[in-house]
Amino acid sequence: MLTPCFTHSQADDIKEYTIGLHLLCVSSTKEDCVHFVNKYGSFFKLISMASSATEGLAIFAENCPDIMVVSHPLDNFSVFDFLKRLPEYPSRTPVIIHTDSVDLEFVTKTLTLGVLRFIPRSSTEEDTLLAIGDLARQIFAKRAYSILVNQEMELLRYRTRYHSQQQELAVRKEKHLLRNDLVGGLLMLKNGNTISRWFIGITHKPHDIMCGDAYIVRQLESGDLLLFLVDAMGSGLSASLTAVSATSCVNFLIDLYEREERFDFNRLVDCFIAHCRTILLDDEVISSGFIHFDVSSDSCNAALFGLPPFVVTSADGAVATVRGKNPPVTNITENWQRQSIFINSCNGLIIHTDGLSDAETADGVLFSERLFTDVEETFTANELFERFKKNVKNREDDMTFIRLGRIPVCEPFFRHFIQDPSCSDISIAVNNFEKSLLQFYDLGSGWIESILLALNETMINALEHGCLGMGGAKKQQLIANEEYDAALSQKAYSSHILLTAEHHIIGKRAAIILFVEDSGSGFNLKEVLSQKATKNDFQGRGRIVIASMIDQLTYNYNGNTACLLKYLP
Amino acid sequence: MNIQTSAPSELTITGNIKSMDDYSAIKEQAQNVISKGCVELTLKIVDSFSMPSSVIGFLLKLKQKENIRLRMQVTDQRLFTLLNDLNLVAEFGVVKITGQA
Repeated sequence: MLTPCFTHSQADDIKEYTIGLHLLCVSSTKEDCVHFVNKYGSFFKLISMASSATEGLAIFAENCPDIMVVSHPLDNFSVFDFLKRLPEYPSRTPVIIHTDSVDLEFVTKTLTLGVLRFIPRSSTEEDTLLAIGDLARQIFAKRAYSILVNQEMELLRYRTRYHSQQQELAVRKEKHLLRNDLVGGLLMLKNGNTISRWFIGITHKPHDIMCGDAYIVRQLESGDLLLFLVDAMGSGLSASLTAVSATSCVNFLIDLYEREERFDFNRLVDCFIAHCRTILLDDEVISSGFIHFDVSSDSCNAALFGLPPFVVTSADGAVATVRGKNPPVTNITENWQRQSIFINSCNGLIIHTDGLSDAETADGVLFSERLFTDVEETFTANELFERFKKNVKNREDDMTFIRLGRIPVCEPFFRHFIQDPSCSDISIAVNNFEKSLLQFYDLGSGWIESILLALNETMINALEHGCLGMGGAKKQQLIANEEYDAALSQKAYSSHILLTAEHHIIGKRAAIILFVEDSGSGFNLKEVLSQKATKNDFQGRGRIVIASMIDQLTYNYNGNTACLLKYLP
Repeated sequence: MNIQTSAPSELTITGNIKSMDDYSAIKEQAQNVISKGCVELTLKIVDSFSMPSSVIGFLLKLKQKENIRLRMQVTDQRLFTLLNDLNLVAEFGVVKITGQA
């Protein structure tokens, strides 16, 4: 019978917390256990009885009770030893000691072993229930907290997964909007009978997943080249939205003007500024730059808005910067100034965002302080980026640059034209080139063999794809049918391959540049260059083999001229 | 480049593999070995630092169409790196060895 001061509602309240629990009662006397079951059995989901410490340990190990009552003393086992032998030490399962006598030392020792309550044997049923109920509430609170934490964690994981997925989709979109017509890296600017040849490379390195930098490289129907670079304020998602909007606008305008055959540089920039006025917030600015290579007038028009000065290399190799004339675009910008340089006086050009020039090097200075030297000593975008990576350890901003480097006009030291080529004609051409090379250079055999291998591979590619029109699937089929060798050994009528080789000093280094031009229609460079060679795919490996043998491999817009650069050792 | 049969199912290649003639020689020797009933082929590539795509295409055909078990011992790190870049190390059973093959 419960005393009047301990109401049924209090007992029900305790039961609410204990009814789902499993209690283990450990006592040396079976009577103690039976007494416990009789008194409190209805309060628990399950009560296990152990009439010895050994049995108690076995039940604990097998069933992991939620709460444990241990009678003190235990036969043949001290309570300390029992508690120490539990699988968890100190026990995370709340322990109540049921005892007649306790001293301070006993209390202190057992408290460190997971004991939370002491109930004298003389306690009333109500006192015992209150002690058990108190512990049951603690267990309940712990479990509720644990569930809450797990739910929070799951929610967090879900959110992280969702955001990552969204960002990946957004990055795909972002990359789709960037446009580079000259992904092959070789630009041919034709003005009448004159052709100037340039290497063009882009390095685009976002700081966050989403990027505030964006670029466009377009070769227009007229043969002109248009570069556009944008650096939106800040970095990450917000900056990316601004950059993407600006890029989309410029791409749209160029497409429209090209379709209507009325490209006009000034109008393009005017419309871009008008667009920016509609997308920028009051406190936003956007740095951007347009460079238009107008081949017919041999001039290069620029409209720069808050971008760092662009870097120009003159014909004699001197490096200088050209400062832009306009502040960054805001939502109230209206007027702007154009500036021009003559293409003929320019052998190289780099337009970049401040992520390049303002990056801090390991020496604690800005990269802009060593930019001139690095530009002088390198030629391609890749080489400059290698210098950047070597010197800048912690990038803190998006970084993008577009680099153009003119291949100087030069009389070839070797020229070989093959009309109606076959595989054996290519072997002859490569052998002749080797003989010609040996007239000029006494280089290590490894160097010569590298360039010969790369040349052989390039010319076979030209024969296969350019002259024979052999696509990847056709080549695969021919190899499988043992017809590949025969196909290459026959003459490819009405086609030709032209090989030329030139000596150059570029980036202060001696180099050989080879051009392999075929009469084919070329190939879709964007598609091919984005493919990765796989073990099951018979195409794409040649390009990887060639690139591994030389310093730079580029293709013209159509893909029917390959240009191989290899520095002398 | 030089190629010789160094064991019943083993070809040893010295010098650089670089031309179509080299490709033809490797193909001829390999087919010669296989025509004698060998179902596996080991290539010991002693010096070469690269491999033309025509040779790679031929070896892939042996592996994938004719089910020839390939093993390749290469000495030059550059060739090993190239084959690794092309995801062919497992396919060709490539092992990088130091010193003379």
